[in-house]
Amino acid sequence: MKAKDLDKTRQQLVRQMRRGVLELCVLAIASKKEAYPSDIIAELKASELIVVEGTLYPLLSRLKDQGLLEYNWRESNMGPPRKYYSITETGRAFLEELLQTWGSLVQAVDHSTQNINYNE
Amino acid sequence: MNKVQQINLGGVPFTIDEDALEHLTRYLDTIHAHFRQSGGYEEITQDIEARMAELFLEGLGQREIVALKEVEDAIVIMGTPEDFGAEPIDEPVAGSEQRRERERAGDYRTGRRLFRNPDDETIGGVCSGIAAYFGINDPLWIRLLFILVTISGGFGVPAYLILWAILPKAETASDRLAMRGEPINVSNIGRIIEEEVEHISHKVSEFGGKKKGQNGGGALGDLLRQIVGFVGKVLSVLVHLISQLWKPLLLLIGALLILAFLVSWVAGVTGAVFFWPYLDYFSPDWPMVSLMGAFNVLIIFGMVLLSAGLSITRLLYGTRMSRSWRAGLTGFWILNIISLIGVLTFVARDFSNEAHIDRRIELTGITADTLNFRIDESVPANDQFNIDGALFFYSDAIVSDNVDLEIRKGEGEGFTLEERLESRGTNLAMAEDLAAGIDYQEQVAADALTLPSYFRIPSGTKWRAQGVRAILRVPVGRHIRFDGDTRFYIDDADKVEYRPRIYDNPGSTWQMTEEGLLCLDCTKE
Repeated sequence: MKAKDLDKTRQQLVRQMRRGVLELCVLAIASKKEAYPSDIIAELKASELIVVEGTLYPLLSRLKDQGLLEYNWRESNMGPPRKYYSITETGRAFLEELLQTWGSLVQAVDHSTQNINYNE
Repeated sequence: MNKVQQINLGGVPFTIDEDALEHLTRYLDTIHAHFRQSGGYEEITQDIEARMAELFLEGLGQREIVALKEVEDAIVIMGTPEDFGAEPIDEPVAGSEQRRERERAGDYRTGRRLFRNPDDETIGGVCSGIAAYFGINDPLWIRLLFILVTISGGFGVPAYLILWAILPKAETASDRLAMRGEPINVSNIGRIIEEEVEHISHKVSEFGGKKKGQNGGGALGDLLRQIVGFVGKVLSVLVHLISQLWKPLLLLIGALLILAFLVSWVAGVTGAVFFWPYLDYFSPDWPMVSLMGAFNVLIIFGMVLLSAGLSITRLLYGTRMSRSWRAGLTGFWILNIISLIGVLTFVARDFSNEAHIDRRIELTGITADTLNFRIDESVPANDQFNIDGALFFYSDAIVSDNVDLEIRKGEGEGFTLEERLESRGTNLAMAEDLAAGIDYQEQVAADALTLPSYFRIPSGTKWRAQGVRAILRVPVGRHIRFDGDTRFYIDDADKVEYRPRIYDNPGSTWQMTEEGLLCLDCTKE
């Protein structure tokens, strides 16, 4: 029971950590080039940030509604036109601020965790 | 062999195996149910469907028909709502943690829509659909309301038929979930309406956007989007305004209903106390029975008013009575209805038999050719109160105006008065006793007959719809004068012609002929 609870807490923590950086990653991917959702997913999957594609769409929709992303319709050689997402001016400024915060966060975390001795 | 179906998924036509389609439909239902509460519901589900279509196209290659395998593969890639729960992305809805718990148990709480409920239908499932919409546990209340509306004016039947025609039937699982949905309250009513507006405006703007993409830009699409955006903004301001006013308005209605309940209660109790001394006239042998009946009526109507008031406060503040309280009060209410039916049956029994006593009075004292006929309409003064000017209450008696006056052709030589005293009662003997107890006194003085238009029921006897029918028989050849200058109310008379009327001609003299009464000096036709 105790172990199960701990496991649950750990899972929640991991989820929260991923949640914290996910928007950052999506914005970063979209800032590099116009991205089709499956491209974004491919990158995110590689870094184990998400597992199934279905979860990305609500996030994209929210970022678009917040004015951080925009999309254009592009013709596709198979099937109907596709939505390609790119970052907006607001989104870029937002991303830069986030990246700064992220940088200092990484430093802070590194600093707090650098001398841990696991075998103690 | 497998049957196939044609579908349109994300704008792409597919031929799909029937079992595969079933699987796909189930999956999309759960996706819709999952995202229905999220912002951008339309867009998200459309994107997912479009992506599913792409995955199918990739999976099919040169093949033509989508099989179960393609659907299963696509679902693995897209993930189910259960998978989403384990993912970092989470729709930003308050209480989402709790919602996910429920979703895991297979109980999706979704945006609410009005449906007909095929699972619980008496006629067409309209009532139970409405009950589900408003979160009422038992559709019986809505049915009772419909019956009430039908009885009190017949509006219920066309209303039901219209609702039957326009409400869709909840056919799929997600329909049924949408039918129940989340409870509507002040905090989310605005959002629910906004969602509906977004649903429509999104459709339109998406249409415009697509056009733009395909044609390389179009002013029409832009304009359309701007218009829709503007309309959406205006609507959301309105919705906001209404959601602000919503609360005080409902509160006011609730307060008024509770006030009406209190007033009717106080009035009822005061009335019962005031009426108490006279209750004996009406009550079956035991006055407690009628008091009980009055109490039942108060409770039955009072509790309907009270529950209407309370359900409004419940709508506002989400306060709910505990289940046991509700069950107890409902039981009490039903008990009151049963009791009232019992009392009414008991009272009705007291009116079940009718008897009458006939009296015949030869008016031998009136020897003149013309009888002066008068009606005494002056009900004794100092009555405590009266019911509708028909039943007057005094400290020692009640007085009823249930007197029928008739003038008929008589046989023989002299004037005759026939009186029939009528009453109802538990049995014939009692009815006869009560008829005999009627105090009705004609007065004969010289050549004048005065009939009162009322009679007394002395205290100590019961009121059982007593009545008096007085028939004055006028022999052929003799005269009758309607003496006085006020109008005469004669219920029936043998007359030669309908006009002139006795009513219009106070003071006129009439002669009885073989054909009936004939007016000798009428001025008004």
